[in-house]
Parts: sequence; structure tokens; C-alpha cells
Amino acid sequence: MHFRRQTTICREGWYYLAILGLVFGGAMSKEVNLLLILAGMLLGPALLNWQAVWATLRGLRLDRKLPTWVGAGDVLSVGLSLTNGRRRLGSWAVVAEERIERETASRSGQQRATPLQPTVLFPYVRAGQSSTGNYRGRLAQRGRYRFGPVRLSTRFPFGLFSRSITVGETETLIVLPRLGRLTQNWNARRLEAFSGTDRRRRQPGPEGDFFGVREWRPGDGRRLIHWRSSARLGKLVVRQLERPRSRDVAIVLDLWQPESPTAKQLDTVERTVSFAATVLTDLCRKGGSNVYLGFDQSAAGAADAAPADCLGGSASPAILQGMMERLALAEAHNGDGLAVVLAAVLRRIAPETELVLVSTRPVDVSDLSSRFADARSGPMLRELLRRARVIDASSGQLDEYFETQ
Amino acid sequence: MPLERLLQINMAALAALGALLLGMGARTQGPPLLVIVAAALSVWLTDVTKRLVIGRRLSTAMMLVAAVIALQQLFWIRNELQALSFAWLVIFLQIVLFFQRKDGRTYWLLIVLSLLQVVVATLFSQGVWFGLLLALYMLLGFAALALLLMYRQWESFGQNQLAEFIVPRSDVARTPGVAMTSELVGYPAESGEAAWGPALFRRLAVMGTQTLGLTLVLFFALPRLGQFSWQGNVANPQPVTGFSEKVELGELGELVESREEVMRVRFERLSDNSPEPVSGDIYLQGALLVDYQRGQWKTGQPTTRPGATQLLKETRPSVGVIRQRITIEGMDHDELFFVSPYLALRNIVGIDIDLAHEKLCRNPFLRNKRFEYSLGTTAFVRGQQSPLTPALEERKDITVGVKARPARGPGGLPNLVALADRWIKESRLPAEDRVGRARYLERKLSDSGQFQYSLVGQDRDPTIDPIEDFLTKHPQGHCEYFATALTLMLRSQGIPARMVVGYKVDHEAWDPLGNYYLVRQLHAHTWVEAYLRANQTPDELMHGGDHWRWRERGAWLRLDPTPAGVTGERANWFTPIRQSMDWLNSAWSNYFVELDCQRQRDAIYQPIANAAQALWQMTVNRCRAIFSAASVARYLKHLNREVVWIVLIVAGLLAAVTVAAAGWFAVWLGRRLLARWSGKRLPRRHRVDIEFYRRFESLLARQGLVRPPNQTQREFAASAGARLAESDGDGRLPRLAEAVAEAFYRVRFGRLPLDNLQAETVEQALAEIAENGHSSAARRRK
Repeated sequence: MHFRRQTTICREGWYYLAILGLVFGGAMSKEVNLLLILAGMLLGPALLNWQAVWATLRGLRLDRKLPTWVGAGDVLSVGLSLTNGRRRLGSWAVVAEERIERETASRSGQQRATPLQPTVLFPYVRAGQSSTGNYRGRLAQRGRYRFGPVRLSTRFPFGLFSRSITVGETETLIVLPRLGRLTQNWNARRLEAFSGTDRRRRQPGPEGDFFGVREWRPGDGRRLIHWRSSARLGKLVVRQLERPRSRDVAIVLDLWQPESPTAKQLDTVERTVSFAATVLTDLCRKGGSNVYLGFDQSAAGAADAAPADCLGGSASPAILQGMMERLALAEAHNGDGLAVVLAAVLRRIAPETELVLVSTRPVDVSDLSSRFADARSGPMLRELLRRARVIDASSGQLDEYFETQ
Repeated sequence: MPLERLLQINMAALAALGALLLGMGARTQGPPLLVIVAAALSVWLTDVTKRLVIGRRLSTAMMLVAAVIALQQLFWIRNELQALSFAWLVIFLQIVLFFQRKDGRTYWLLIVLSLLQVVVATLFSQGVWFGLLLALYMLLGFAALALLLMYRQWESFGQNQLAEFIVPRSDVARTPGVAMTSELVGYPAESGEAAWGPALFRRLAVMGTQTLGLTLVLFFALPRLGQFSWQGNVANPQPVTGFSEKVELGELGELVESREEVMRVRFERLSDNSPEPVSGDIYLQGALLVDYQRGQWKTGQPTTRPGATQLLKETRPSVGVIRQRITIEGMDHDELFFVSPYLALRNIVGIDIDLAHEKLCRNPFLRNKRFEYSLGTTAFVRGQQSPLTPALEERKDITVGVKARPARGPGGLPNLVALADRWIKESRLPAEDRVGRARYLERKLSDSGQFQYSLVGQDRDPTIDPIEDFLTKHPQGHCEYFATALTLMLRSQGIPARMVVGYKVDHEAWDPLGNYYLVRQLHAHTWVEAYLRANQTPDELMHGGDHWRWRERGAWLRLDPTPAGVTGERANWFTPIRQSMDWLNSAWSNYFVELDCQRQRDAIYQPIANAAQALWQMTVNRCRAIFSAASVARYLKHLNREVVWIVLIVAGLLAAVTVAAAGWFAVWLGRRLLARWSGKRLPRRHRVDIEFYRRFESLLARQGLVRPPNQTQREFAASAGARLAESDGDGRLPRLAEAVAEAFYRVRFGRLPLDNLQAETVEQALAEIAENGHSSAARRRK
């Protein structure tokens, strides 16, 4: 797809045309034939440069090779392949200027970020052949990035005129949150929470302790389906014979920021998201537990997500990828959707699930049980809320559990 | 070879060639040599080894000032020598620049400075070599500009190769996001060696050829407004022998082999300025030498008339006058040359007559410039130059110098006198037959075989007079020796005589392209004029009627004792090349350097107009023959009345279709050119070329919804959305279809690109419509 073409006179071109004008004027006013010949010789390059910049960009096709995903701050290498479709004429000195824009920033009403414009030089692409270049670097911020379209420009051969065309399809790349390192405090708290609940008695059984029933999840064997309960509830439930070795964890993010956030507040939001990503990665790497993620997505760019949704399931690379992508697009806003998010999460998780709430809100959100007492009055829920671990990121509490690498 | 090295060498060659072109105009070798040496040294000392690098701030400022002043001079210049002084300044700055550490800007300045030198060079008189070297300069300039572009781009990207990642990992770790900026660095696609390989230079060569063609078309087609073209100037005038106060024998020999152009002489009819055919040798008189003293001629006064006067129009004889139009180059002396006798056809500003020396001089301020003047002459009788020149002074006014007899005794010229006596005695001609005696002595010197013409310097006996040595010991010498010997022999016999310095040309000097005689330094010649009293003047040699008062003042008889056929150039293996170069020089001079209004009309416009007219006439005649009323009528006569009508109607329709097609083509071409110029793509009338809308229609087409031609995109979106909602029960679909249609109208008719949000909305809408299509299809399958 080609659109928006532009031919301009370069700075050297203006100088050159000024000299040409003077030479031509002098030749005509003084009738100096040799000067007129020189003027002709100067006019030739100007006209041919004009024609050459047209011809050089004709019949070019650009293809981009993007990685599947990349983490913020990780090395990103994008390949650009320029194909010259002409049969005889080569293309010299073609500069491909990519346009990379972070979409999430513009959607959230924040100040629109300046697009990145890495350029790749294609010194020579022979007729009928391709040439491959690349640009490398790091994208500092998570989010969805739109790559393209690419602006191809050339000043060949004399640098007097420049022509540019915009080519290529746009593609998107989701840059995942940057990962950090969990501190010993976090591990200690996790262990404490685990051992604290491990004292509960379990019923022995031939295939393990019967713990209860739960909703069917992909991967559960048919033998575990509790048909009677399923018939009663109208959905598939399975017997939970054995409690998992490590406790399930639900991460709930309360990504709040004012209308005009300060740099520190923006940084707090990013650290919170990074923390969540790191915890989830850690849990999924270890496996054997269920992980859940919930946050208010009303400002996020995920098109297929409800405003308040809870992602989760058995810890696996696939579930991690899904959650990381959600986190990549997570946007803070100044509303209060925590109640809805919690409601969605609580609907999804088991009572024993460890709930970790990380909030960037500077108000006290620690007393969750009183806050949601009216909405959820069940004793199990109250117990869950009471046991929930609340981390106030705005006050620097996050530093106890998390540090950047 | 690395790009920068290639650029440096190219730049050095360009600068050297530019300086050489300037040196050719200025006729000096010093500055070009200096630039060539500086360019070569700078490549080695500054660019390769970096041993000599000078600062550049000051010199950059100086260069800019010099460039502005030099360009300004193009308009305000009054004397090319002023421009030359600026050119030297430019050369100086260029040399300074060579020894700087160079970057893209430095190379660009070097190109501009070199170009300025060539601009100044065009103001001077230049030969065909200038043209050839200018074409080479152009090609070098092309290469310099192209390599400079490559260099600049490669430099900016080449630095990226050094910095693997310009965002250090430590900065990345410092904070997770906001404070840190993203950075992406591009790299050149591949090694650039191929980019500045042979393919590039082939491309540049093609462009050079195209530019030369364009230049020629522009040059010849652009109408000249002025009457005369710029004739160029001469910075260092040519030295001309024979015009200083003292002329040593042998001096002329140094110049007789130089092919330097001195002047062009045209002979024209007065009535219509058409060329007058002349043949034989043409003698162009310059200075008269009268006083001889021991191998040295002094430009003594041949007449006693004092002072100088302006050349004023005089009454000319009624018959036999033709115009001699002479274009002379800049010289180091004021003397002008002419076929004697001359007539002033009009008052000429800038030329004075030196009455005492009987010569014409141009004003000193015109000395350095190419100068054209026209004089009349009656010297040509039946196309041949008459040997007789009327005496312009009364007999009594002739100075004793021309009559001075050489002494016979010691200190004089005894051998010369004795030889003259012997030859006169041999001739047995009476003393009254001056013509006979003079001719006899002339023949004895030229045809006896006793004396040989030679341009090789001879060892003369310093104890005796050089002319005595020539006659007795070393009978070899060039025209000066022969002319001196004859002059003095004539005087020894009581015949007043004088030596004339000028130029002699023959048919070999004729330039058929320009219709003129091209006089070069090698045509320099000396001959003798012997005075004849009125009663001794042969009637058959007189010309110009009574205008010249032959019967009162007498005449001067031209005698040329130099052996015939030895003046001018001798043929050798180089002659064909030389002749080709002469032809090229002539073509260059006539059709390039001196192309003016008149010549352009005669040589360019008129032939083209004639050819076009002939072609038009031929076409008209052919059409007339085919479609003449008689032939059409003859044809139609054979047809029925109905058929005739049918034929006429068909012909009319064809004509209408042709006119309509031509109109449509003109509109199409105009729109296309306009679009090309403005850089916008025209909307295609019958094809919607907006990618997302195409997808939209194809998605709906898969669900059996195709837009009929009579439905607009908006109407189609509304109807399709309604039908989808009806069948699937999804109330969002009409809104999605409308959103796509709105976006289409925005791009298609509003010519506005979609912003990110709009693009995203469209993509989401298309995705949902597609998903809806899939689910509908799945339901249908079930």
C-alpha cells in the first residue's frame, strides 16, 4: 500500500538552485555562451535528481520482521527487507524511517508520546533483488506499539531533492512489563502464609485427601468429575482430592493515578505492574498452583476484555502469556473500580486463595473487610478479605518485596 | 576502496581540474599547478596520514565571504581581471580547506569553490579544450556530489555501528519505565561497497550523457537577445614580436611555431556582407621597420607626418572595395593588422592612426580584450591581393631612413653591397626599371637555392653584422634575414625600401565553417616594400581608381624574398590530428563561444524552420493528393446516394469520436500531471482502493451481502448492518458497519488519514463482523 508522497528541495538543493540562478542570470545578461553551457550542465543534475528520486522509489516493497513478543527494556531487533521490483534500475541511498508509536499512551488521555523513528539505510538494492537491514534497541515502556507505516526516502544521486513515500502495512507488538526481583521478604511472607494454613486437617482417602469440589477446568480428568454435584449445580465440577502444595494466589491491582500524574506516580504504577508481572512469572515458573490476576481494565487497550475481569488458571506458560499481555496494556486511571474488580476476583477464586492487593492509591485501603462488608456478607468472603495482603505501592511499601534488576 | 578515500580523490581531481580550467582562461600555469600539488599533498598528509591538519573556523568564514563576493561579481563585474583576482582568492581558500579535517560540509564547500573557479574561467577566451575538459569536469562533479551524498548518509549510519546499543543496560535497570526513554538505532542494510561500485558510475555516466544532451538543446534553443556574444577576455595577453622599439634579428623565430590564435580575418562584400572569395597569399600589415643598425631594427618613422588621428570615415572609391572584418585577440601591444591599403568605412571609436609610423593602434584599454574592427580595402583584384600599395604620403615626406644606403666600407655592409651590385650587374636591367631590379634581387634571394629557410637558430659570427654573416657564412635563416637582406640591398641600389612585420596566410588558414582566415602566431612574417615613383608604377597593378593618387604619390611594391612554401606549418604524422583539432576549434569557436543572435538564426533556427516547413508542405501535399475534393468526389460519384450519406455520417462520427478522445486524453493527462506534481494520488473513479473498505465488502460478500452499483457505501452499510442484526440478533452490528462506512468517507472523500483510535475502531469493527460471519457460518453448518 503506497500513499502520501512528497518531493522537497533539500538545503543543498536550495544553495545549488541559487548558484544555478546566478550562473544562468549572468549568462543571459552578459551573453556569455560558456557560462550558458555551464548553466546547462548545472541544470542537468537538478532535473535528473528530480527524476531520479521519483524513479528510485518506484517499485519498492518493504517487509518487516517483528519478534513475537519482547519485554520492556529487553533488546529488540526488527528486520526490514527492501525489495526492488524493477527489472533494470537499481535503487541507491534509500532510507527507511520506521514509525513506532505506543498506542496505550494515546488512548488513556496521557500526553501523547513522541513516536520513535529508527531509520535504516539501504545503500544499494539491485534490480529484482532484496536487501535486509535492521534496527535494534530497547523499548522502555510496556504497552502495545504500532509499527509502521514506513517512510522510504531518497536523495539519490546528488542530494538536491528528497522524495519520500509511505509504504508497508502497520503491525502491532505488545511489549510485556519489565520483570524485577522478588526479595526475601516476599518469599518469607509467602512461606508464612503457606505454613499457616497447612495446619488444617485433611481427610485421608484412597487417592488422596478429599478436599472439596471445584469448577472444572481444562486439563482435569473425567474421572474427577463429580457428576452428582454437576447435575445439581448445572455445570461441571470436579472432586478436589488433594490440596496443592503451594497456595493459589490472586493478584489484584488497584492502578490509580490522578488526572495529571506526577512522574513519581507514573513510576509507582509501572513498578506495581512490574511487581505483578514478576510475581506471576515466578509462580508460573514454579507451577503447581493457580494464579489469578484482576485489575480494572476500563482504561486498558484490550478490546476483548470486560471492564473488570479476572484472568487465571493453573500456572502455565500459556496462562502467563495471557496475563502478561493484559498487564502490558494495563492503564491506571483516576476512577475507583476496585470494588468491581474484587467482586470479579472473589467470584473466581477458591476460599483458600491468597489474595494480594497492590494499590497505588494513597488512601488507606487496608480495611477491606469493612469496605466490602455490605456487598459480600458471607463469612468465608469476610475471612478471605481479612487475610488479604494489601501492599500500598504509593507509600513505597513495594520496595520491601520487590526490586528492579 | 573505502568511500571516503574515493571521495577525497574525486574531490582532489575536481579541484585540480577546476583550477586548470581557470588557468587555461587566465593563461597561467602557477595557480593550477599549486592546486594540483596541494590536492595531492592533502590526500596524503591530511586525509591518509593525518600529519598536517589545520583549524577551520577562520577559513570557513573567509570562504563564505569570498563566495558571496565572487557570486556578486557576476553581475557587477566590469573587468574580468577583477573576477580573476577573486578566483585566486578562491583558490587560496580551497587550498586552506584541503588541509582541514574534512566532513560533509567541507566537501560541499570544496565543490562550490571549484565551481566558482569554473564560473570565472568561462569569462575568458577559451578554446575547444576548455569545452572537452568542462565535460570531464561535469562528470567529476556528478561523481563528487553522488559520493558526497553516500558519504553523508553512510557516516550518519556508520556511527551506529560503533555504538552497539546507545541505551546502557544500567540505565534500563534504573527505573522500570517512565523516566527512561526508548531508543532504537538503525543500521545500514549491508556493506556499502556495492553502492559505490561500477553500477553507480555507470548510472552517473548515463546521467552525464543526458545532461550533455540537455545542455546542447538548451544552449542552441535558448534565443540570444543581444547582437553580440561575449567575446571573452585575455588575462595574460600574447606576446607579439616586431612591435617593440628594437627588434633583434632572430627574435621572430621563437614564435613562428606557436599555434596560438592571433586573429580572424573575413572578407565580405559591402553590399550584403556575404563572404568575398579571395585566394592566394594574404599579407596583413602590422608595423613598418625603417632603421637598421647591426642586426637590430628600430621602428623609426617612415614618414615625417607627426601625431595621431582618429580613424574617420573617408570617401571610398566607387569600385573594388571589399570589407575586411578582423577579430583580434588580446595582445601585449596596441598595433592592429590590416590588408593594405585600408579605408575607413565609418568612424571607428577605439582605433587611432599613428601617422608617423603608418600603423593602426587600438586604445590601450582595449588591448587585453578580443577586439573586432572593419576596414575597407581595394587590394584585391580578381580575388588576389595586389602587390602594390599606394603611398599615403608625398614623396617629399618619406623619411631618409628608407633611403639610407648601407656603407660599403668597414663598419658597414660591404659584402651585402657587393653582392647586390653583382646581382644587379647580372640582371642588366636599367636603373629606371626599379620593379625589375627589385624583383630580380627578390628572386635571387628566394629562388637561387643559395639561401635556405631555417627556423633553427644559427651560430652567427659576432664580429660581423648578422646579415653579413647570413649572406656570406651561414646562409640559413628565417624570413627576417631574407627581408633584411633584400631591404638593405634595395637601399644599396638607391631604391627606398622598408621592412614590414605582419602575418601572411594562405588557403591552409582558411576556415570553411566560419568563412574566415584563422591567423596564428606561426603565420608571423616579414616582407619588404620598395618605393616606386609615380612614373615607375605599373598600371596593371594599380587598383581603387584615382582614389589613391597613384600618379602623384607613387606606390610601395611588396616583395617577399623568403623561399616560397616554407612558411607556415610543415606536414608530419601529427598533421591529421592537428587538422581535426583545428576543425573542432573552429566549430567550438563559431557555434559555441561566439554564437550570437545572427548566427543562431542562420545556423539553428533557419534550418529547423526550413525542415519543418518542408515537412509540413510535404504532408499537406500528400493529404491534398489523397483527400482532394476531386478525388473524394470521384470516389463518391461511384456510390449510391444512400451510401454517400452513410459514409459521410460515419466520417462525421469518427471525427467526433476522435475529438472526444483527444479531449479525454488531454484531461486525463492534465490530471495525471497535476497529481504527479502535487504528489497526491487521484481517486479512481470506478474502483475503491481503500484497503479496509475492501475487506469490509469482502467480509460482507462472504455472508451474501454485495453492494449493488446504485447504492452508496453509507446506504450499503446501513442496509447490511440491519440485515445482519436481523439475522443474528446482535444490535451492535449496524453501528459497526456504520463506523466502517464513516471511516471510508473520511479517507475517500475527506482525504484525511485515520488516526490511531479510528484505525483501531475500524479494525475492531471488522474483527467483530468477521467473527459474526464465522459464528453464523458455524450455526448454518450445524
